[in-house]
Amino acid sequence: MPWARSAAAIRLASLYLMVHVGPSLGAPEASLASSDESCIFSLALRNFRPILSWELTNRSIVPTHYTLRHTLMSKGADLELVPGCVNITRPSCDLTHAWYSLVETYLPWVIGSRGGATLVNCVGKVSPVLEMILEPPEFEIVGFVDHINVILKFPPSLPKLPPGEGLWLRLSLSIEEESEGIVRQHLLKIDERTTGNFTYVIDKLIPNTNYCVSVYLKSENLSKLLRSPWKCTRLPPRPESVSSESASIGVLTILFLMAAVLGGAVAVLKRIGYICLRSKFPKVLNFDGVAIWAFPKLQPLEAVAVAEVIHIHRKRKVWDYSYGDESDGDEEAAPRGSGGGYTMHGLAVRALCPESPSSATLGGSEEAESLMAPGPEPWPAERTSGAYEGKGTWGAQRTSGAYEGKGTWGAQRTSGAYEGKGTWGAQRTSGAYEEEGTWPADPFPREDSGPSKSPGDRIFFNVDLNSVLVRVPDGDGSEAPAMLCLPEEPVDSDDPEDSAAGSEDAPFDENDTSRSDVGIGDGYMMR
Amino acid sequence: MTNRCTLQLTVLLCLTGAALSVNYGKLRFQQRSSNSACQDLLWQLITSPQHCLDDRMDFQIPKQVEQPQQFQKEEAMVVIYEMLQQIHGIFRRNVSNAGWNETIVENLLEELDEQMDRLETALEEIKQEGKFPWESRTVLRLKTYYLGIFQYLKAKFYSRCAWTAVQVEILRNFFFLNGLIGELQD
Repeated sequence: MPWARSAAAIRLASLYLMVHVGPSLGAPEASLASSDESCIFSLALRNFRPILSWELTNRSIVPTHYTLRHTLMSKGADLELVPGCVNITRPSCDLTHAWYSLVETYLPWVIGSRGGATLVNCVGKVSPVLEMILEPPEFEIVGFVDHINVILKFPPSLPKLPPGEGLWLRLSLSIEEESEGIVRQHLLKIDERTTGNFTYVIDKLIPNTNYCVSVYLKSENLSKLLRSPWKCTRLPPRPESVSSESASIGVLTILFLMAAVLGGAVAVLKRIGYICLRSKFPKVLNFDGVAIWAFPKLQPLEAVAVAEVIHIHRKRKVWDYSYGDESDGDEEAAPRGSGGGYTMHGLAVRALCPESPSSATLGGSEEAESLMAPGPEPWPAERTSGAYEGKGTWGAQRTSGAYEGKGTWGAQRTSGAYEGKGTWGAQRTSGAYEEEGTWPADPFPREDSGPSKSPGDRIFFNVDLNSVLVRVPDGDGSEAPAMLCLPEEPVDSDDPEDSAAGSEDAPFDENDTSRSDVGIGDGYMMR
Repeated sequence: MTNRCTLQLTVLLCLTGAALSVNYGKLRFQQRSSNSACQDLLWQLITSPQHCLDDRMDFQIPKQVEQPQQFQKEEAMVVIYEMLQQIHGIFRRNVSNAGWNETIVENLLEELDEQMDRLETALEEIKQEGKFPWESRTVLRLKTYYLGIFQYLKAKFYSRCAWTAVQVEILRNFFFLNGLIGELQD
């Protein structure tokens, strides 16, 4: 039994010390047997250290020195001196390294002396679980606008004890904040890592309000706790709170004015119809559901060459009474845009009759030649200025002088758009025409006088707005249509008729019977 | 209609079951409060222990009781009941010879009775559930432990210092009981 042997050895050593050393140390003559209960012991956990304090019931006796011994009731241990508490002048002792267990019942024995005389010989019983008081840690508070910093001051380090030992185990810290009768509790766990200064923030507080803070320790096994004194502070107001009321009134006023202006603007815009237009049209204008058959179906388009509108600037030609001078017309090649002839403007039409004296009326014949449309081959889809399209397809975009295929007129006819097979357009200028599927012969035959097959070639025709001939085919498709000889009317500047005719550049009105002097028998109509 | 009646009956049964089942949170609070009262009463009974240093005894309570984290709820309940029952039996013996304050002893015994009554309701429930730990080694060791206490008192002729030593030991028992009560979780 090693334990029993050690206890016996300690007993003998204590006895030896008491006999031989004690007198030199001022050891009391008193013994435990002569002790009384004249001391009131109190145990407190301060900074995680158990501190035993004692107070004499007879206050008239004031020893100058104290010596503390202790033992356990559950085991046969001897009374032992507490290290650091021998012949001390203060009536308290740090028992961190002496008292480890909350379960035990300890017997402290205090001997107080003055000089060599023993004045106090008291013993008591202490149960940490029943009597130890949990003292709160020291703390400071710093108040801000909406939060408080609670600075807790814990010891820099915890006492080094065997694992699982220590009276400060399983503790929690409670921080209470109180304001206007309302208390809120904040719990923090305490463990071995809780050392040094620690700051806890109490947030979500109301500015310009009084707050008080108190802290205390809690334990499941210990019931005696000590609450710290309340520390109070008044939180500062928000920086903008002084003028907050006037600022809020100003903001509200501005918002109200903005809303009123915006509402008025919206009302005015709606009134004038700029916004929120009514989409309810009268019933007569509602074409939804109208049958498509009400509109004639467009005839399938006939492939024709792309017509290019050519602007023609006609120069009034003064007849010089020269009947036989045919070379003038031949030689006279009106340059494009020249004053003597026609300028290419856009709509390509059939070339003039070869015997036409005024072949120059073709204007820009060379250009017309070079621009003659190819055979019945499709043109590129997009062409401007009256592009002409080959057989089978039409250009998607037709502007001035749009040409339309078989059977129909184009919707817009300005500078002499005309029709192919079946009908002739009422307005035709320089005799350009086209037969379904074929191109007219080149009035200016070249070595390869056949119609150019190249899709890049274009055909130009001059459209005389003053004279339009519309040919009505006889219905025999095999018969090659006769070339249309445009009546060449030299423009006489002095001729009032020409002036009158020249002014008639308006689109031909097909139904204007008052104008038509048509002899249908030959298939020609003259305007 | 049938479904509605079935639903109502189901809800009623569930509520009844919830009401009749043990509320372990409430049981823990009541047991701890009663334990605290027993400790205070027992502390009043212990007087001048410095004169009984020669009668001190290490009774060697089972280690499992000192570290109750290993217990399940059912076994913890059985262990608690056994300890309360044994402590009640100890203080019922030779009270008059000990020279104690009888009022304090009676109050102590009442507290112990109330604790046991509350536990019996919970023990019946676990018996019905078939979870009663009939063969608990800890209970057997406890029986041996308290038998040793009885034998010590008998050997010391129920002297004052022997009773002081036993009181101090029972005071430690109540501390371990607090730990066991913490294992009564829902």
